[in-house]
Amino acid sequence: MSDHPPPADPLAVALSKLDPAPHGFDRDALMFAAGSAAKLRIIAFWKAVAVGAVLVAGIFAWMYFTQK
Amino acid sequence: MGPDQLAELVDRYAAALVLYARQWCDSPEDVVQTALLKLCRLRTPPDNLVPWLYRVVRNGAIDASRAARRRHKYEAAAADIAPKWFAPSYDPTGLDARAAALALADLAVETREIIVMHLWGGLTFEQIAQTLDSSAATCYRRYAAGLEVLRQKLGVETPVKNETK
Repeated sequence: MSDHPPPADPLAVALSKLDPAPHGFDRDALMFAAGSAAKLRIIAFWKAVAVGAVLVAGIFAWMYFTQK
Repeated sequence: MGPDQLAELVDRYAAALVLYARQWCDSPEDVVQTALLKLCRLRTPPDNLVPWLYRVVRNGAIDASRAARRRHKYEAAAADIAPKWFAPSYDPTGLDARAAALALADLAVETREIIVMHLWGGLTFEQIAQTLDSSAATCYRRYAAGLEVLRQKLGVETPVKNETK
C-alpha cells in the first residue's frame, strides 16, 4: 500500500457517519458469561482435584475395611 | 482478559461487529457474543486482536448461516432486513440510512464485508487483508470498486480530483 493514502472520499465519509444499529445483547449477561468462560480452566482444575480426592479417599476406605 | 478490557471492546466494536455478522446470518448478536466468549477463554489474547475478532465473527456468521440452511431465503429477504442495519439518521444533510442499507445489501458479499470493516469497524486495509487472508491492495481495489457501485446506486457525484501541476 502507498504511504500516502488517497484523500477521503465524500461518499465514504457520509457512509461512515451512519451509525450501525445498536447491538441487541444484554451487556450484563455477556460480562457474567465472560467471567464464567474465563474461569472454566480453574473450575475444571478444582473439579479434577475434587474427583481425585474422592477416589483416593475411596481407595483408603476400601483398604481399611478389607483389612479388618 | 479483564472485565474492563472486555467492556471497552464491547463499547468500541460490538455494534460494528454485529453489523458485520449481519452480512451473513440473522442471529448476529449470538455470533458476536460467542466470539467474545472465545476471546475470554484464551490464555493470551491474540497479537492482532481486532482482525482476530473479525475473523472469528466471520467464520461464526458463515457457520450460523449454513447451520440454519436459510441462506437462500435470507438473501431473498435481505432487502427487507437491510433497513435495520443502521440507526435512523437525524442529520438532514446526511445519507438516508435506509437507502444506504439497501444499496449496501445489493453489493456482492466479498465487497460489502470490506466496506463494512473499513468504514464502520475502522480497520485498515492491512488489517482487513489479515482477516481475509488476502492482500491489502486487493482489498483496497474491491473497496474502491464497491464505493463506485454505491455512488451510482445512491446518485452521489464522483469527487473531483485535485491535480497539482
